[in-house]
Amino acid sequence: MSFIQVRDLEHGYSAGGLFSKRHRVQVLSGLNLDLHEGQSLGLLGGSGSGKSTLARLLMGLESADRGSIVFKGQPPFLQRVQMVFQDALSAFNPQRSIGWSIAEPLRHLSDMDAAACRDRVEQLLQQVQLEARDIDKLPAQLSGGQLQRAGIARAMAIGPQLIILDEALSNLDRVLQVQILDLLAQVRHESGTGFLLITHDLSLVQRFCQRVVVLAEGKLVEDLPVTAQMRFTHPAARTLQEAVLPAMPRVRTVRDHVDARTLEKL
Amino acid sequence: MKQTLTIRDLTLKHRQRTLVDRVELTLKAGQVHALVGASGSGKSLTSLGILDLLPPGVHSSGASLLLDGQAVDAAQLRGRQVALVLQNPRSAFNPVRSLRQHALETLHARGLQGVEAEQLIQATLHEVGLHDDQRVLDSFAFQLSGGMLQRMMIALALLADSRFLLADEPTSDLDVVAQARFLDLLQRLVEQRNLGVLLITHDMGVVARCADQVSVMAHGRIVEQADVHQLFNAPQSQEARTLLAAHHSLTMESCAP
Repeated sequence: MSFIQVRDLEHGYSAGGLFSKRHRVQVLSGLNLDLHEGQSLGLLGGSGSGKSTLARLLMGLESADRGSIVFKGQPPFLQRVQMVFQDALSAFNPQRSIGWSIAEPLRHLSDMDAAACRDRVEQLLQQVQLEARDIDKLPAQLSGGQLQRAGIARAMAIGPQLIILDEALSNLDRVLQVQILDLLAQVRHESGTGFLLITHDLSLVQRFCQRVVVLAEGKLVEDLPVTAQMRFTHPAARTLQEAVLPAMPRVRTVRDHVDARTLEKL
Repeated sequence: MKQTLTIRDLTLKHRQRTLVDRVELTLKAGQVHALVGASGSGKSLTSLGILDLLPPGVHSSGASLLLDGQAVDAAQLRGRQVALVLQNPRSAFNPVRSLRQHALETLHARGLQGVEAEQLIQATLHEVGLHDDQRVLDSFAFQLSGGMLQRMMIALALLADSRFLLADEPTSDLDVVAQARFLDLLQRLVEQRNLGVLLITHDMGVVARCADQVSVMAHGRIVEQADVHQLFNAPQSQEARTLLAAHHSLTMESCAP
């Protein structure tokens, strides 16, 4: 059953400075997508392909120029769908403690009292492997990786059915990326939460997602189940696949040596 | 032709705390030396320490810098023999000056001006793959993409005729496609211009792609130095094993035939 249904979505922006000629940039055109409940879906695309625009439209942070996004779950929407942003530091109120920020969805979307909120926050911190004493720290006192985990804790607080991660792992090192993906996989097993993982890095999708869609030229150009052998056919998607870094250093071939020698002669 | 750049006994302290502990590194012309380690292990401070560009409060003691075995002063090297490419290219440019002014300033330091300078700038921009050179040169840093600015940083290093390049996480802010293009460019310059590169990264994929030698850093110390094949096949230190385990858990599946 589809949980969110996107039909013929179109969106664009006006670019250019105050005094220069205005250009219209069409970001999404004719995009269709069905998000299923409990599924972890990877949304792959290069920079500027419109991934974040799609996320913002899905969350209702902007309204689309044309087309429809239909939410088929039980309202209210924010109780079912939460989002984690790329830049963790700017996603937290710098003057409030981590505990206060993580409890924010609980204060607005549930009828928990203060004590229950605090219990829930402590439980969440434990779940994302942060320490109990981090509850009173300010965002600036945590590292990027810790803060991103706090962002995930905040998204999980209300127990949503879908969490949108918009390049939420891109600024972290590989060791942390793997740790957080394992953590999310555990959350998915325990609570059946679905995920929309937005990234430009296919290796993250391959580790975590069941299905992948590729965004290029304003629409989805691929929609495949994730398998070890999957191969994209669209040129833009192939470029993303071929840009994945190698697992092992390549053996320097004879040709390379010949090239080097010819170059020396030149 | 300058062939090696060596830093010996680099120790950096903030108050009483040792941040970088007796680090030794040698860069060779025509080779990429990768410096890897977790966030906070002292990689970036090492690169800044080599050029004596330390943040306030951090002090260096006892380090010596050798160019082809001759002791040199960091202030004479930076921007000339040794160029630096940073992770966040946007903050590395002066926001109120066009990129043309940046390029001309670099050439001015070498004593080049006028038509000769213009031609060299054009040729260098083409060399790093910025083919729309006039538009790029007229632009300000905020008007270009991260990938383009990274190329422009390299172009400035080439304009300064640097023999060595210190690149601190140059691709961490780029998407995978821009990253692949940047690494292609770096490799081509290493081969064609015999550039010596220190490549700081936390991504073993980047190391596998283009490094010759690797130094692994943990808690301010170098815990392992090895040839790239040796490191991938038989890592000795715990730090290297942790980095490789994370790397392989993300790549092994996708590389299966």
